[in-house]
Amino acid sequence: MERRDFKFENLETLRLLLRKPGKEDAADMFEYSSDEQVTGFLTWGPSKSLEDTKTFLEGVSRKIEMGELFDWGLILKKTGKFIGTCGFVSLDFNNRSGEIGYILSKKHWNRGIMTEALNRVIRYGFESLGLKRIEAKCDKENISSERVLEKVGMKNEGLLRKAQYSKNRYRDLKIYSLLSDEFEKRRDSRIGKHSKI
Amino acid sequence: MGNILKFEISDFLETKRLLLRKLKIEDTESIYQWFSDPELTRLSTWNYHRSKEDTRTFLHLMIERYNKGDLPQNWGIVHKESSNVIGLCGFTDYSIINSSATVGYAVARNYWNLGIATEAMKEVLRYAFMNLGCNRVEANCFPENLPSKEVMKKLGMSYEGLLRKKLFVKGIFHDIESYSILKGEK
Repeated sequence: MERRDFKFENLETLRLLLRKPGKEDAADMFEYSSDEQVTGFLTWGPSKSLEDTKTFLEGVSRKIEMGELFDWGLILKKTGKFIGTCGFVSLDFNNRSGEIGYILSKKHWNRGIMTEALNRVIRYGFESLGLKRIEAKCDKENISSERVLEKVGMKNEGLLRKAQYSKNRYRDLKIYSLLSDEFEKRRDSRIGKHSKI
Repeated sequence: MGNILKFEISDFLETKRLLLRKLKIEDTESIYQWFSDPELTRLSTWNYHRSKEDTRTFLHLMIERYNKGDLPQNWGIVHKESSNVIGLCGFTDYSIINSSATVGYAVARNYWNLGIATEAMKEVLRYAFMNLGCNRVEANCFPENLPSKEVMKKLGMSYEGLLRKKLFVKGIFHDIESYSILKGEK
C-alpha cells in the first residue's frame, strides 16, 4: 500500500470539525502551544513566537497536501475556534499500523473533546486508511493523556523504559494499542445500543 | 531513525571466540550455507535465501548501507576457529535524539546452544553503550522465538510488553515481544 492511495478528508463529530490546519490558525494555536503545561509531555514546545507557529503550520499543511501526514485541526463548531490538533504522527503502511498523537488547549480539557476527536480519527484510520493496528505512546506521568487512550478503548501493552529524551530527561513511555477487530466490536456494540433507543 | 546524517558501525570487534566484522561479497558462500535454511528464518522477519544469487543481492544491500549510512547494519559473526561467517548481528535502528538503539541477530542453526549469539551480542551492547553513547538498547522477537528470548534474558534484557499485530511479515500479522536494557544494567 502506498500512502498516495489515500486522500486527506475533513471529518466531523458532534461538537467538532476536523480539517487541515494552516497558517491562518497560527494565532489560535499559539495560545495553547506557548503554554508550558499543555506542551509539557510533548517532544516540542512551548512555542516561542507566533512566527514559529506559522512556519510550523505551513510545514504541516504542506505535508498533508503531499499525502505524507494525516493531522487534523480541531475546530469547535460553537465558536469556530481552533483548539487543538490530532492525527497520525507516523504511518507504516507496510505493516498497516499507525501511531496517533494529539494536543488540546487547556481551556477545553476535561470535557471529552479529545476523546470525541480521537474516536473519529481512529475510525478514519481503520475504515479509510485500512489499518490493522493503531498505537499511542504517552509519558508514564501523563495521567490525562492515559485516560483519553483508555476512553477510546486502547489497551496498555507495556512500559518502554527511558524510550524518549525530551526536555532534559529520559522518559518512560506507556504504549497502548487498538486493533481493527477490537474497534469493530466496539463500533458494532455502540450501533446496537443506539438502535434499541 | 531520528535526525542523524550517517550511521556506520565500526569495521571490527573481537570477543574470545568471535570476530565481528563488516560483511563482504566474498562471504556469499559461507552465509548461503546457513541463510538457505528455512527453519532458521521461520521465526524472524527475514526470508531464507533460495539461491546464492539471493545471498549476493543481500550482501550488496548490506554493503551499500555501510557506505550510505542507512540502517539496518550488521556485522558478520566470524567463528575464529573455523574462519566461517556463522551469523549476523547489529543494529536495526538508532536514534541520536533519544540515545537509543534496536539490535538484532541470527546464528546458523548448527552453532546454536553454544552461547555464540550471547557472546556476540554482549559485545554489540558494549559497543552501543560505550561507542554510540546509548542509554537504552532494545530488541524484539516473535513470541514463538524461544531461542532468541533465551539470548535476551542472558544479556540481562527485561521484557517490556507484547506489541500486538505489530508487524506484517510473510502474509501474517505478528505480535512482537519487546525487551530492553538500560545503561548500567547488568
